[in-house]
Amino acid sequence: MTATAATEGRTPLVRVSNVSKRFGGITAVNDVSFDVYPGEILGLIGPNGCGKTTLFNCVLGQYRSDSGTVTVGDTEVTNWMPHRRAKYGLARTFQLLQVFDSMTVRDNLMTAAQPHISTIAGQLFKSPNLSLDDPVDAVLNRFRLGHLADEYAANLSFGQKKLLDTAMAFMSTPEVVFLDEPAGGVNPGMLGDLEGRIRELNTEQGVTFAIVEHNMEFIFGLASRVIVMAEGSILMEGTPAEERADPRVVKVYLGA
Amino acid sequence: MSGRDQIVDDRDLTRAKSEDRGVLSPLLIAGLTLAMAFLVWFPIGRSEFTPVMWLWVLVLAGVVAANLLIPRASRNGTAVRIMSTVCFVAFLIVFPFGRANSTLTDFGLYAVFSVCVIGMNLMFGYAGQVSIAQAAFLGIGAYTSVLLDTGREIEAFGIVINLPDLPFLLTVVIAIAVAMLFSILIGMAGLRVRGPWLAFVTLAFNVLVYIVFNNEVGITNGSRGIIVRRQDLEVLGIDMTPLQNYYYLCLAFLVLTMIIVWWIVRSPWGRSFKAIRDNSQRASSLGIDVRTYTLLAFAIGSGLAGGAGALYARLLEYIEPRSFFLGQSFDFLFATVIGGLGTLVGPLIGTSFITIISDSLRVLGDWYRFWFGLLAIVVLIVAPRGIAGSFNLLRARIAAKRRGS
Repeated sequence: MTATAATEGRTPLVRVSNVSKRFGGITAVNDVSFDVYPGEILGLIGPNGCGKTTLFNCVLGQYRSDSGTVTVGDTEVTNWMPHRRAKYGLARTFQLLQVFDSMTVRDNLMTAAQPHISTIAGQLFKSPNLSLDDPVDAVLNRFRLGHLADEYAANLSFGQKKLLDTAMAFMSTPEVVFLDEPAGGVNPGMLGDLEGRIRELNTEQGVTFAIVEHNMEFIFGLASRVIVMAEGSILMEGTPAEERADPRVVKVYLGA
Repeated sequence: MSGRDQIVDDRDLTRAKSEDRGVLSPLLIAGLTLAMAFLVWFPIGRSEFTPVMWLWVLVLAGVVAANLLIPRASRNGTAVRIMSTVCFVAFLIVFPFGRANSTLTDFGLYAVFSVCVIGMNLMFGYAGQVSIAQAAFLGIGAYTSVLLDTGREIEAFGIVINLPDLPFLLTVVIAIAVAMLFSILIGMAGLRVRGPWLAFVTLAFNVLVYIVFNNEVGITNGSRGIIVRRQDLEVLGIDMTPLQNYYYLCLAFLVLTMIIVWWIVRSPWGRSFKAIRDNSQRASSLGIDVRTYTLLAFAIGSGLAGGAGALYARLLEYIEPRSFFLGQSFDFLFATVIGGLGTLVGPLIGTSFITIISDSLRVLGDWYRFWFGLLAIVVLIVAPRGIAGSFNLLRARIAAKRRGS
């Protein structure tokens, strides 16, 4: 893949090489390669059905790709189960809200954190909260969910669920977080808040992000590098400024 | 299954927490202690239906009312929960004491089947995996225990083997281990599929196990069954010949199971199970090993049924393949659902339907099965989320109404 000026000479954190995924006769992702560099916010845009989410699913292990490899650092994770990739530092959210409705906000965050601090056997004999109260409180405060800690997730509003959903991805102190449409259905006021959270985590804690998004203003304001996909392949890669000007991107996506 | 209603309930309770000052606690504890004193004090029943029964009904009504009216997340609530559990166990200890063997058998079956239903609830109610093979594991446990502690001679594939005569408690442990082993083997293949398909796989396994019990005459004595007397059975120095002594062994097993499952459910495992039930894709993306956890729930649930099977054989002093066929599995499933999925008390309520309540209806004559079916339908229409689940909903409504006034 062609490296832009910003990424030249750096070692990628996640390297995706020649990944393809077919469903029956449809090729959803066709020989896609890209890198995620440490500390960056990478945007991934493209029209509906261009394979962004399928690509995420291949990288995170929800789907097994038909060909190609996914490497994290020096370790190839192509055939790993999703939970193993999660433990290795890859966290994600899904396009549709996925929180555990029958649990409180606090328990949702505990559930997200507990696989990363203790073995399965060890969990049975430790106290139920696994001394996770402090990290959970920290995330609750960061995402302004503190007043809802003992509320059941099913009772939250859409926006609050969205915050919880995103917050859960950070409970494992991940290296890379893959967000699938974090701004989808979020009102403008909260959008700024969400953008602030992401930027904060990126600069203060050095969390790397890869974000699929339809909201152009949101992603162009946030990302340092944006990949444009169309029909299962990568159309171009560059800085937000370059892409705004590129006629191909305007044609397939921004709408002419 | 996630239960929005349950959630409404607990939100009310959280609010109630701040209002509650705990002044009721001493009164409550005194009241419930008095109720329990009644239970122990009265020389209960030479015959089955006595005026004393009405006292039991009063105490039951008291316990239900206390649970209904007092918010759970308060000091009073905690007192109520502890006292209710103690009352319940006290009832199971005191009530069958000195009663006829038929009553003792009924209560023994209640204890043994409760363990099976608790196991099924762990798989279905908490981890969300439907298994309809609980009777097969009950049977595996029963045959394992009977074959290993009677010194029988069996013939398999033309070879005659003399089986050992192991101590009873050891065979209970082996029965649990064997049931777990089978469940892991079945689970490794079966848990690749979910929902109704998993139910079909386990259903087929139940049929398979029944056929083996029925056809391997050399080992299981086929459809004629095996008679296993308690005559020379001694556990920890106590003679198990009287049914009453054996009943208390079954009860001890039930109480132990309740404690173990309570421990599992409140540990991080409980959260992982619920996470897998609510959304397994999300659970795995957060690092929860879905396959291992579902296998664990399956193995523990089936292992409990195996242990229950070992006790079941000596309780009835007779086992036959028919007792472990699909009908029994569906009874367990029915008890799990009617009691309340994913609740700790649910199985204890549900099992009374398939043992004590269905047996008491025998006084209605030949049509008692019909009336039982009708009762079941009515209960499921009135309380669609099981009795425990609907009870929680009712409690929330009452709490909301009181706050409103």
